[in-house]
Amino acid sequence: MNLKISKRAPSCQKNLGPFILLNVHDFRMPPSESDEKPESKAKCNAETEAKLKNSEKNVQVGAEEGRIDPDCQRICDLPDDLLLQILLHTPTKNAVATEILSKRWRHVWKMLDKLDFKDDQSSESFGRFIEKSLQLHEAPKLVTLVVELGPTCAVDVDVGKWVDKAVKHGVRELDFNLSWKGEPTSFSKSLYTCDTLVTLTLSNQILVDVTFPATMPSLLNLSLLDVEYKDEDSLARLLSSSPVLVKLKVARLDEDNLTNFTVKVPSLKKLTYKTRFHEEEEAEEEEEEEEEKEGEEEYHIRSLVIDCPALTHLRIFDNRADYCSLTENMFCLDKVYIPYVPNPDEKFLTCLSSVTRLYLDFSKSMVACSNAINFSRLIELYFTIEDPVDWLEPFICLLQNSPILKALTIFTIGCPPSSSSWNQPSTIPPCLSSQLETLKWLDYGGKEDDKQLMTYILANSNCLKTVDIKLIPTCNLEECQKELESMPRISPSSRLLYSLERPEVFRWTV
Amino acid sequence: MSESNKKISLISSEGEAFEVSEAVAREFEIVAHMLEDGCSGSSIPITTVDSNILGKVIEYCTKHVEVGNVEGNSEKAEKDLEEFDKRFIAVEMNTLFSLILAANYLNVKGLLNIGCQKVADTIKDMKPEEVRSIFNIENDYTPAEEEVVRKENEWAFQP
Repeated sequence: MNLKISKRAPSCQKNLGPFILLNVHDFRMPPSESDEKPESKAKCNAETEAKLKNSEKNVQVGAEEGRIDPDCQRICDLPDDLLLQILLHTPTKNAVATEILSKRWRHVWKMLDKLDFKDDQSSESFGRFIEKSLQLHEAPKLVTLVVELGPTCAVDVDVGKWVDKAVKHGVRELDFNLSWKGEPTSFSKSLYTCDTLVTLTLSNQILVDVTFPATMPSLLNLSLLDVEYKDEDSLARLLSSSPVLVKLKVARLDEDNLTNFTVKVPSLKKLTYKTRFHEEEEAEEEEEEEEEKEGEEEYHIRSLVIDCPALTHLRIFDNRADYCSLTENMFCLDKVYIPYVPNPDEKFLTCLSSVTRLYLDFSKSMVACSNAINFSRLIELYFTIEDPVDWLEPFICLLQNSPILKALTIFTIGCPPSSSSWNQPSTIPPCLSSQLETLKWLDYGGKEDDKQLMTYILANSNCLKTVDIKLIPTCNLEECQKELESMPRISPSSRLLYSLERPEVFRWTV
Repeated sequence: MSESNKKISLISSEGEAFEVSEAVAREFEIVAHMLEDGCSGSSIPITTVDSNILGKVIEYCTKHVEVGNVEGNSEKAEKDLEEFDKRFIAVEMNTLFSLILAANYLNVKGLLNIGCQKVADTIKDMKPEEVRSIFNIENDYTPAEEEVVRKENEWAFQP
């Protein structure tokens, strides 16, 4: 048995790197597929290729092109399409400003097919700048339009017209973030019937008002972030606008006119849903106001219903405690991240039973609905306890019902030491006896509960290869180490790694 | 596997031959297309690119092929590559423009990207006069014309 002990994780990783199997990054999604636009190809390529076809040896590449002489290069020797490429790498504001350089430059930026207007200087006249720029813009295509208006921006511009212009020019990606002081803006039918749009992001002062059938046949990605809704029908029409929608991201305001939020999208693969109280952000500002209102406001319960049979990735963070219910038709679930869902319906976890990787906050309500669910595909479990709850026995029950679990991470930060003694199960969970390879405990404190569970896992996990233990700072490293090493381990090849590090911040994006 | 061992000579405008593996040559999309189109030539003259620049482009492609071939490509490898790119593109302006032209011509997208980004970063926080002098741009506006342009889009010229 090989034991290496170290106080700090980095050196640990250096010496025993290959054995640290469960890494926070394993839980992270790959970056979202960007909608890559075809790069403008060097125009000579096609010609050259044609010339070179069938040639055997010593083919000439670009024989008729002028030599590129490094001694007298100036930026003006670059063709317009390369100047455009360069401007594509600058914020649009800088690109527009290049028109002052010389007569040639006056028209270069106008051919950009991607305009990105971000109000990073809190300018009042930023809206008028965008308006003017869009009037001057001459490119036949406007593939991407990003508009971000801050709170100081004057509200005397018609953003709807900008959207219309983009739609007319074949826009594929549209991102409107209106954080200004204006009333919520609604967009015209042209947006919701745009057939080129692939990615649509609407944020803040926008009213989703769709009173007609919406058809966006190319739409793959939709984000609705802190917007308001005219009514539930508007949302339903928007969500059913695309037969190919795969990714939906929703962040909801405390008040957005909707009581029920229903996501019924047959094609959807990735869903992120987040709610918050508006007090969270503006707590300080509104503190006084809140005190006055205390007790007056009624809390109205809203609901979330998810009916997406093709869903593979699900993430719900529900700070507002909406009533969350799922349908039982989700058989493709891969990653599910539910760090905070305080108000699930009783079948919530049952509907997630096909998941392969699960991040679960074992709250009281989750414990209540966790009974006897068979997680037959679960390979990786990240198990966390935020609120005090009697979790040991339901947790073992969860293990009993996860027969192919290979990696387990435990984070019990919110759990007080248990006073009651623990009844070991009569049969050993099959995942322990034949599957579990990695155990990572992010805040092992040596409490009675912790010890019992650790002893049990070490004594019964035949295939365990790595046990990575992060001790909480109040622990005595040596004592804990001694104690842990004295626990009998059934797997002869398992290794224990210790560290007194603070747990890494867990990141997960859908 | 024999394909990956195959060597190809790229000939610069001065006639200098650079022997590279086929994998590296394929990083030049223009060459990759030729090979796919059945061109079996073992030496390919690149007449628009001189030895200095061709050598640099090959250095860039070789590094990227090497890192791409490492199994279980980690974040560290990615970071190393980023560092390499950063160092690689820190060249004086003339070389930078030559690299951009060559990358565009040979269709090496990654290199074209970092080259354009480098120029863009240089332009970003500069006054028009500074940009003109750094890039050797001749201002052919009359003062009156320049004033018109400036007025037309005032906001863009605020610091």
